[in-house]
Amino acid sequence: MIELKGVTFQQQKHIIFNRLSFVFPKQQFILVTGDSGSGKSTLFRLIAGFAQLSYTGEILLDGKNLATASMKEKAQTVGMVFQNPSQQFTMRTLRKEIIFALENLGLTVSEINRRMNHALALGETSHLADRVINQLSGGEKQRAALTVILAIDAPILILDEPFASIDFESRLRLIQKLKQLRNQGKTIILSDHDWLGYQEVVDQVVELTEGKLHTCSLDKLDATTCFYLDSSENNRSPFFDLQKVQIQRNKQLLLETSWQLNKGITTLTGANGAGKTSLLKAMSQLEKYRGTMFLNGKKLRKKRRLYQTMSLVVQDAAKQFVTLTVQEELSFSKNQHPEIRAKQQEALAYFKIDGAQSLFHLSEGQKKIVQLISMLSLDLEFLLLDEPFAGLDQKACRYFVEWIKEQANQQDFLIVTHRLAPLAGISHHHIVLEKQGLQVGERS
Amino acid sequence: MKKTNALNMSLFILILTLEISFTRSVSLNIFLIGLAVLFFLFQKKGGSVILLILLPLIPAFSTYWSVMLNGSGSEDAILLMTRTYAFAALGLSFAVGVDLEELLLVLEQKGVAPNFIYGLLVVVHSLPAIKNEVRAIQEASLLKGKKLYFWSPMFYIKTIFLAFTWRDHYTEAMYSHGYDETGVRTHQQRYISSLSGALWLSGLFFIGNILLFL
Repeated sequence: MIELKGVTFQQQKHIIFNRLSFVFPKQQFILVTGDSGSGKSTLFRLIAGFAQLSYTGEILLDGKNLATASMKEKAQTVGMVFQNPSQQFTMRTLRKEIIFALENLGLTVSEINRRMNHALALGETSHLADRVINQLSGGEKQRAALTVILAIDAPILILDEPFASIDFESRLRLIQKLKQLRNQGKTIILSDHDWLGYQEVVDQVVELTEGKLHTCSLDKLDATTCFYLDSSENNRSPFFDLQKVQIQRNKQLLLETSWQLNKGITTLTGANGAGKTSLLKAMSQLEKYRGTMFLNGKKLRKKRRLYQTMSLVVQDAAKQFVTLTVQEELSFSKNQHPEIRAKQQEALAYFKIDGAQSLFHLSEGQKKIVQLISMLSLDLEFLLLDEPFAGLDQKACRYFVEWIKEQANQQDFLIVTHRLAPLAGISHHHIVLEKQGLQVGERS
Repeated sequence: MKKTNALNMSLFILILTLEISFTRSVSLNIFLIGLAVLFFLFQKKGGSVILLILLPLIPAFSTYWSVMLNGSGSEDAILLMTRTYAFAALGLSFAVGVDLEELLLVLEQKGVAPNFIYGLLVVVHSLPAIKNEVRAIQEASLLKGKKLYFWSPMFYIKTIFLAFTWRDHYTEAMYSHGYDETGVRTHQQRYISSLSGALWLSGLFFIGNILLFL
């Protein structure tokens, strides 16, 4: 059980929570929702207590106030998976990280080995255990982070958007596993903007708005699992040509294909680690490949001028930023129309983001929003997007999908996403990356 | 229990580095260079042999020439040239022969403060990520149609900011994995320094030192 008693917290003079009181009951699976930037991550970090955040009021975990407890004791009470999967690991591989964590808890060798093997099996990460963490894909890192927490085996699990870049099938399986853990007596608090797969699994949906928590009806989760990602009247005129393209990762073949992309909005899906990001990077000429690629008949080369016709929205929003503040970032590119500037300001106002704010102080969702505003306002022929909806609330998703749809008359899009709902009915074509090749997506 | 030569090797290299700094033996220097070459070949690291030849080339020969022209003559010049090569050989042997992670873990078990060890490990492991980050800034700019050059101040300002945010992320993440400055840790893998390795290295050390008296 987690009890918040009159918790007040402020960050840079902004009051985030004012005398917040709430009880998360024991041994339940609770989904926390709320707009991007509403403070979910901050709330989770306050509860977990691993950061030096000073607040007033009391937070009781299973009846105990751990504010002054040792980190070891806190870690044994709360397992936390942070939203950004990078910078979560001390060691080089997942196996070593699990060992590091369990050594910290002072366990015996046999107990360490037992828990490690159990967690690797439960998290379905045995195949990742000895790979260098830095070389894992975004989704694989998230699974690795979850596995460490499973090994620590704390009674309370707090997971901050743990499935943001995890593929659809794995997501459903992992949610079922969390359900089993709940049945075994764990309290699970999880935030996610994508509600797919939670029906009949979660016990409670709690919404965070304007610094207050309230319980919502479970009906909110009733969502369709059937998405039409290719419209029947779709346009069949190709504009992007991949000829005998081969992409390798660590000397192993990742993808081999000859393919033509048709004009319009194309959705690309595939399992974690299949090579979607590598394909986008290769298409943007940022990663090496064999073969040739053509955009509207012109052979592609890595030149500055190429990026005046096409560009890439990268997976980790922070890696898209060149400057330090929101305003600098939005006005970074050259020759902006006044119209576009007006559109940018309108978007900032809509999402209540202050232009003078430092990019480092934004929440993950807000970073994504700023990233999308800046990239969608570029004047391009072709834009590739890598997980543009990760960390975005539904309102924001709708806003950007609308923007994409508006632009689709004069601009083509290739969108990699695990989150299909926002694109249903919008996307013109669906392709899947599997078995080291591209295929036309089945209607599902 | 795992036998390791990380500590043996490091001590061997450290002592020899000090020794060649203070002795004047060309034959010891050449002996160490030869030893390093044999070691690289034995480890199938042919690239390191080439690196060993090329890396000290300019500093070694410029010291040689400057001492030849302005200094005390060819004896000192050859000594300094071989010494430069011997330093490079020892440095490369450390890079090739010692697993830094293993060395740090061994030192932790020998009682060095875990804060120091794990702090260093995080930095060592995040080096490739930092490299990626610098590349990402360059790519980010390119993706918006502007090329960023290495003299752009933006690179350095951003990297400093990143270092600050990463420091906080890493600390929080380490705590969440149960790391506690004052806590008692156990060790899944106990390391012991390999006796045979220590004997081998001491043997080589003595052979090298005999050369001093020939």
